[in-house]
Amino acid sequence: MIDKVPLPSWMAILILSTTLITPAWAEYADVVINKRAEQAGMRPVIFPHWFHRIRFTCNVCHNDEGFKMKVGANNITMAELVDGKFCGMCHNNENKIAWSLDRCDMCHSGLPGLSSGIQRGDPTRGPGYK
Amino acid sequence: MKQADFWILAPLVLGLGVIQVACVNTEPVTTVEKPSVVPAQTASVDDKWLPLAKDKLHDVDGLRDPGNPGFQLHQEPREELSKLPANKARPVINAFGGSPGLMVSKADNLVDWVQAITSGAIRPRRNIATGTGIEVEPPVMDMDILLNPNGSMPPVRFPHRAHTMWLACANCHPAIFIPQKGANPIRMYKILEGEQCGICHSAVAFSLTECSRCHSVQRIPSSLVNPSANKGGGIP
Repeated sequence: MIDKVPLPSWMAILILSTTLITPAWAEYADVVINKRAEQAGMRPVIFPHWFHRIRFTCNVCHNDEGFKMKVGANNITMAELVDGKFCGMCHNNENKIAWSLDRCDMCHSGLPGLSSGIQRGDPTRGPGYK
Repeated sequence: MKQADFWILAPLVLGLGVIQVACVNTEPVTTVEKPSVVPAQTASVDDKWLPLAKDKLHDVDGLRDPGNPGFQLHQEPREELSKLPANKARPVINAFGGSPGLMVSKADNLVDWVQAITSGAIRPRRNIATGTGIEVEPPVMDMDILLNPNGSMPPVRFPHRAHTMWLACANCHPAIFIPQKGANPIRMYKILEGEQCGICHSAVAFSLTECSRCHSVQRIPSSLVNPSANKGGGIP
């Protein structure tokens, strides 16, 4: 039976199965932000929730800094960050909390072509999830 | 299943595991052609928190660009997450000896975040530094709310304490939940759609598949509490 399946088709099955089914292995709740970045010639931003939540509670960003708790609802520009809003409240030269905004590559670190969204949610998320 | 189908599906499933293991290795990609040597290196703790991409061939996390100059400065997830209390309600389903492609979920980052903060394993800052104008730490509130007392599932005990250790009141009230008894008809359908509790749970907080973590209250049959409430066998 096994001899009747030609070798090239086996290879095709293996290659297709890995390329089509394989998702990204990002950590739970990593966020890709690519509304403008790639259009402006920068890599997409990868925001790791895990990295931030071991250092800050949720309210610091989602209440104090004004990030809405919904994917796509935040419409931030670099100009606002430079003015000290959103990420710029910590990522600046004044607070000594986090690296400043001139370290472009630290945040604009994603692979080209990624689409915006939160990664690795459970399959229970429903049809209205955005 | 026909026998012919088996011979097509079996190598597909096996090959899926083997090749994805090979992709995690730092060895050259040619190991894909010799899959028999690969699985020995898989069953390690490191599989829980996969490394960030190591080079252009092995972009393991699938998000970060290894060609990015700042890449080497990023912290590896397992460096921090492996020290924190594990979420034991969430075993890694890992059918093929560690192949990351077959992990069903790594929800919660495999960390019990509530235990992490209550035990003091992490001490996250609750406000931004002085000089920003926002220096108030939100209060921790210890009040449980009992939800769904009459539903078919066990009632929900909502702990304000675990939530206010992370969040400020204004994160939830009044936009998501009106702070008034009976004013918030909570529905699982909405939650599964990413509304109400689902704004965080299954996105960044623990996932909605851990039913009993919210539906946690054992209901005592009303007949035991008050025999006269038993309409069926009550004596008039």
